Amino acid sequence: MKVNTIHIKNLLLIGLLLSTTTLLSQAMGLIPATDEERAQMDKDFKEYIGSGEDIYNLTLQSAGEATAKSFDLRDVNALSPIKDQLQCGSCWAFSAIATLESSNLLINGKESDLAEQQLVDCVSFYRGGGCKGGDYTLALKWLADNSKKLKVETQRPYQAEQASCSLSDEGFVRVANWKSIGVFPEIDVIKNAIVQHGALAAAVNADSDFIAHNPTKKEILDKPHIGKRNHAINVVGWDDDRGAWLIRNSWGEKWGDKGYAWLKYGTYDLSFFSWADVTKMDSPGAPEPEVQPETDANEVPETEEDVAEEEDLPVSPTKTTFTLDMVHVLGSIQEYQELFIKVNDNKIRKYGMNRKGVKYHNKIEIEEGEQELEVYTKSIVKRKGKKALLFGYWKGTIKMDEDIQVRLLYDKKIESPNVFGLKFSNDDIVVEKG
Amino acid sequence: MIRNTIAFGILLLILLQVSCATSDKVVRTGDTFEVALEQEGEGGFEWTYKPTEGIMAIDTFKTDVELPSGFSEYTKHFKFQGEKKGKYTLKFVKIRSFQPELILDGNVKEIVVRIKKSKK
Repeated sequence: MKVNTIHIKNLLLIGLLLSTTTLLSQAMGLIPATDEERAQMDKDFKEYIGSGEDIYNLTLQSAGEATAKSFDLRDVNALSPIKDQLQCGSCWAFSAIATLESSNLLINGKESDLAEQQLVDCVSFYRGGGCKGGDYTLALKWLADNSKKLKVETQRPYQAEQASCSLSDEGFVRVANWKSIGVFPEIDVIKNAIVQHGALAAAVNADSDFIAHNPTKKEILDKPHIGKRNHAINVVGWDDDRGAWLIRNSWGEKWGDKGYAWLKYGTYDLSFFSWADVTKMDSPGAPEPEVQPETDANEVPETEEDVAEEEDLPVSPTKTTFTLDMVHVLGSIQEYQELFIKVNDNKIRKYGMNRKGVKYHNKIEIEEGEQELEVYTKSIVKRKGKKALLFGYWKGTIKMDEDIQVRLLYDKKIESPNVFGLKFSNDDIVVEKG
Repeated sequence: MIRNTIAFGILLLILLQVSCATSDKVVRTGDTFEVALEQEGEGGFEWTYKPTEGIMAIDTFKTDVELPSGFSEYTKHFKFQGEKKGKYTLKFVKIRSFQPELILDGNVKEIVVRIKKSKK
């Protein structure tokens, strides 16, 4: 009998140990990347963007002035409605998705309710994933690396628990680029990132005061750093008079001020900021897929630009205009290409090319005569299993005395390893009918 | 023999799981004991305790596990003292202070405590 008692006590002890182990392994919503993982992500980003960061920044359209005293992404219609993660430790997924929804509004002008459930289901980190927590930057990188497209909420409704992964190549939005801009970047760096990329993902220490935040009693969250972070949110604006960031939470509209709050600069361990950009979508009216001729995968992609037409630029009816049509078919190692055309001092026009086997016609009306023309290209290419960005640039004068149809080709390397000059060529692309 | 050992091992694991799920605690009157509940603060939900006669709540505090990256996971601890002999069910509910009416499945935890008479 005594032996049995000891045995039972031992079993209870083992049970206690097991339950303690279980308890310790339960993760909060945010399980950020380690220093080593962040160093690797920085290295990966540098390899991905290469020497093209300056051109990349030229292609971004700022949503506001980083020097303004205040800025709110809601004022430029660059935020989707507030969501609720419920009891699932998926703040990392909501934070990552909010950056993409914001970017989609800025780049494509489209409001999208993307499905966080896809990240909860599919992105598993070795220390968490699903409702056990995760890291938003790793999630964004995972989406970019794997060329996954995100579906919308109605296709994959949020369940607040992990289910089987159904992420596929068929979806709505995909990541073009992402970057972690540091643990505690300078205020100006954060402001610049907000106006250029939209909502930023970031981490805070969500303590009891943060959870119970009531802006009618205390307008600004302002607890000093204590060196702890456990929750992912988004930074979506600022107000220098308040000396605070505007943050967006994923706990529904009953938290804070309808889901938003002001958080004083340099408090609550607000840190680990990241941005993400989505790809430019094909414009409505882009041609249906056709069979594409084979291209040599080992060559630098023939970066001829083509894209569907976008909104027309205002053209004076009294002046004669001609059409410049830059045609393009994605090459064998090209997953995506954007084309940017700037005529004189006019606003840059952007074209997105997402589909293989499509001959895109990227048309722009240009006034008769000699005009200053700048052309940029930005491609995502995949070679030997590794993805990278490839940039092209051309600047010069074009004489418009008739309609012109050309393709653009990469020319000599301007800056190693991935910025090339562009040259015009006759449109000799033959697309076989399928 | 090996099969019996394996079967016994599986049975033990099942028993342990059941034991953990019911979370029975046995203490004596006047003794203090703790209940630790994980994922404190997740989704804005915090553990709360509904007072039980015969059990006195004497303290609550949080601890965090610091990960190598410097990030934290929180656990909430409730410290109690047994006052009267008997069997009690401690009820914990994980709620949002800004949305107390929202009580989700899995956010209620009950722990049975048996208070025995002190030997003193």
